[in-house]
Amino acid sequence: MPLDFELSDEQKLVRTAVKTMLAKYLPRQKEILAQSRAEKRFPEELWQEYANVGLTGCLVPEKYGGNNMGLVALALGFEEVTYSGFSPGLLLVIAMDTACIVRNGTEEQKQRFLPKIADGSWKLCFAVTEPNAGTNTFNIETAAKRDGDSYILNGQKTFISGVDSADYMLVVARTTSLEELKEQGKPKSFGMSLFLVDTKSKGIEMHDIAIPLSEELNQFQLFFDDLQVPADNLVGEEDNGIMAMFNSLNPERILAAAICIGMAESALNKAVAYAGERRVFKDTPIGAYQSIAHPLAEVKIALEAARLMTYKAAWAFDNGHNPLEVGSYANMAKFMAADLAVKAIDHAIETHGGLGFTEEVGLISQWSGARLFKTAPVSREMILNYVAEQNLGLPKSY
Amino acid sequence: MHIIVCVKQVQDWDIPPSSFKIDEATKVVTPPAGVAPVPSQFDTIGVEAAMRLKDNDPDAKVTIMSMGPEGARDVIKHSLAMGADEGLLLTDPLFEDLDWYQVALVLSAAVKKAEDANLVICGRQAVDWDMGVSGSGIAELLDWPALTICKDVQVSDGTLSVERVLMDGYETVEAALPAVVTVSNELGEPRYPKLQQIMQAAKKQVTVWSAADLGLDASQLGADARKLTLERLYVPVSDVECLIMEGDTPEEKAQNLAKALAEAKLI
Ligand SMILES: Cc1cc2nc3c(=O)[nH]c(=O)nc-3n(C[C@H](O)[C@H](O)[C@H](O)COP(=O)(O)OP(=O)(O)OC[C@H]3O[C@@H](n4cnc5c(N)ncnc54)[C@H](O)[C@@H]3O)c2cc1C
Ligand SMILES: Cc1cc2nc3c(=O)[nH]c(=O)nc-3n(C[C@H](O)[C@H](O)[C@H](O)COP(=O)(O)OP(=O)(O)OC[C@H]3O[C@@H](n4cnc5c(N)ncnc54)[C@H](O)[C@@H]3O)c2cc1C
Repeated sequence: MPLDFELSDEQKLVRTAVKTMLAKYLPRQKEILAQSRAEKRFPEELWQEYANVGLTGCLVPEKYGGNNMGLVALALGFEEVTYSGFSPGLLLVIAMDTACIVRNGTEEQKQRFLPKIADGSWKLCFAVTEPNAGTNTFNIETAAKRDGDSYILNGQKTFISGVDSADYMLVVARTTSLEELKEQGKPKSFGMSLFLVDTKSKGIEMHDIAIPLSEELNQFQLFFDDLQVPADNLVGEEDNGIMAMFNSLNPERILAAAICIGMAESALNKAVAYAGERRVFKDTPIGAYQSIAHPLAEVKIALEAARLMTYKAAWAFDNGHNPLEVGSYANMAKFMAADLAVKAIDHAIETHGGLGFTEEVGLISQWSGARLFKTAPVSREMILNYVAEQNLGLPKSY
Repeated sequence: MHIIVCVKQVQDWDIPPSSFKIDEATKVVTPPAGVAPVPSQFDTIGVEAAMRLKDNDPDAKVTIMSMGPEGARDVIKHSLAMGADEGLLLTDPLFEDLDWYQVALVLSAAVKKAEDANLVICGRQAVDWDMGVSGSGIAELLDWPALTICKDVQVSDGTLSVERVLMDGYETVEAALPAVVTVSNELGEPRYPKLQQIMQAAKKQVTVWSAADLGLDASQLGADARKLTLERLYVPVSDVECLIMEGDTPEEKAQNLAKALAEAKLI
């Protein structure tokens, strides 16, 4: 079979569709972003447009109201959103929650959740991180105990994005505690389960964490105190949620890469336009100096490479490749794209001289947004560990 | 009602003019490589006008017609994803390098061949050459009324009613179908294609017609049959000077402006 790097006609149209959808907001962009930052809320009007154009329905099969265009299409949409200077908001976590429900949910859960996700009426967030379990997910302690037709959750989560605007959150909890595992001689990967929790439930306490990022998503520390969750909301098998969770992290990483690519391309274009115009000595545009031109050329090379890796990862996901294989591509794509975005924005700042620091040019706030993706949703170090172990077969140090 | 919307594929107008190369000797414009062409801005507004008519009359059929290379399929797909029913691609080596008269000849021949078409919608002008004659040309060759530069298009009981944009307002004009309408940006934002519709558009039919299918040949479409001669193609040199009016108060600035205009003998 021939190797084909062409996007399909339909995939090509996705960026155009999203670009046209955003066009009417561009003239008011500064105002919209300033308002949503002041109100600490993602603009609902824009959210409905995201749903209307179909970004919430890409991973949802048609029979549940989605367009099923897949992760490549969604990645293209994400690129356009961040290229245009907007944030995808909760779309990133919703995509992973959607993938999780589609691939592991019961028929009843699919019918209950997917149509509402696709049409934008329900937002979802994702809660795995705990104070003692960030990078090391196996350390989570939040407990879920079966009680009749329900599970009772106790414990805490931290850094959870968008709980304030989400209708449901996908929570990772332990149905078998670490002590029980020790007694039973079972591995730490056992005993974790996934639950769809109504964010309005009794027994959830939220505390805002101050994180000065430019995106309109707030992070929270959560305390669960006898939080009752209907047993119907368990996604996948009890005690065997770990693979469902890790497989759903792949689309999140791929989309994080797409976000970074959009940001990098936007910064690069800004820098190139400025370098072609700005004259500091005589009549030579600064873009003629190799100290300005070469770093931008390097960014362009890295951009093309990261984009290929991201599409390959999304393609492998859409085609149902083995999750470990998808995971390798997804990790590599996120690693390349996050480094690229930070580098692209840094060089764009450098090219703009003093102007690079102004709010008007907007690069500094983009830099903090891009920098996040070196650390979250998975850190550079953990990706390097993954590649060393999974792809190179080197021994594990931790 | 069968509406045909003419959609031209043009170079993306978002790319800076400086990235185009113009060869004055051969009179050829070379756009930068790797930038995908787009539908002409006013033509997507034409699609919007057609879709609004279809919103009110779901039985109306909307066909997107584009003359151009095989790649013009992309702009047809874009319009089909906005909700149009069918595509019509007019492509033939003879269609390269036509003047406006020959373009109108090809497009009107295709409208005739479509038989049941009774409303043609064009953009007021294509954003590449800005000629603004295709709509009127098609109407002339079909002997249909032309209603140009419209900001609202309505059809009821076979009667077309449009609002035409004027320098100082607008006028309402009626005509019986069949007719040709050209639309302007005052009509409003075109709807965007939704991903669902993009998937549906993949299944919609795009018919391809060549010059022979339209009964046209080199005697009508060749260089000798051109009615328009391109004399010169060049980038205009702008030597506009910008003068900022100084003054501590708006009144003082206005006085200085009046003085400057008087000195330049403009008032
Ligand atoms: C803005 C923001 C939004 C977030 N949103 C969410 C959310 O919605 N839901 C959610 O569940 N979580 C969320 N998180 C949490 C995020 O996923 C974690 O911060 C991330 O997983 C890192 O965990 P940690 O902060 O505990 O760092 P730690 O685990 O304490 O790691 C600290 C450092 O040590 C390194 N390190 C750890 N172990 C190793 C090792 N073996 N080898 C090499 N280096 C190692 C790490 O790479 C890192 O650099 C968010 C975080 C932020 C900042
Ligand atoms: C927060 C802040 C505080 C400041 N405070 C002060 C202050 O108190 N007082 C004051 O006077 N100024 C101040 N400045 C101005 C600062 O010193 C200038 O921004 C700086 O000198 C760069 O000038 P520029 O912004 O015009 O960049 P430009 O001169 O336009 O340079 C743009 C880019 O081109 C590169 N470049 C230019 N020429 C060449 C060349 N020949 N070869 C290779 N590369 C080249 C530059 O290195 C830079 O990367 C401040 C700036 C900031 C951002």
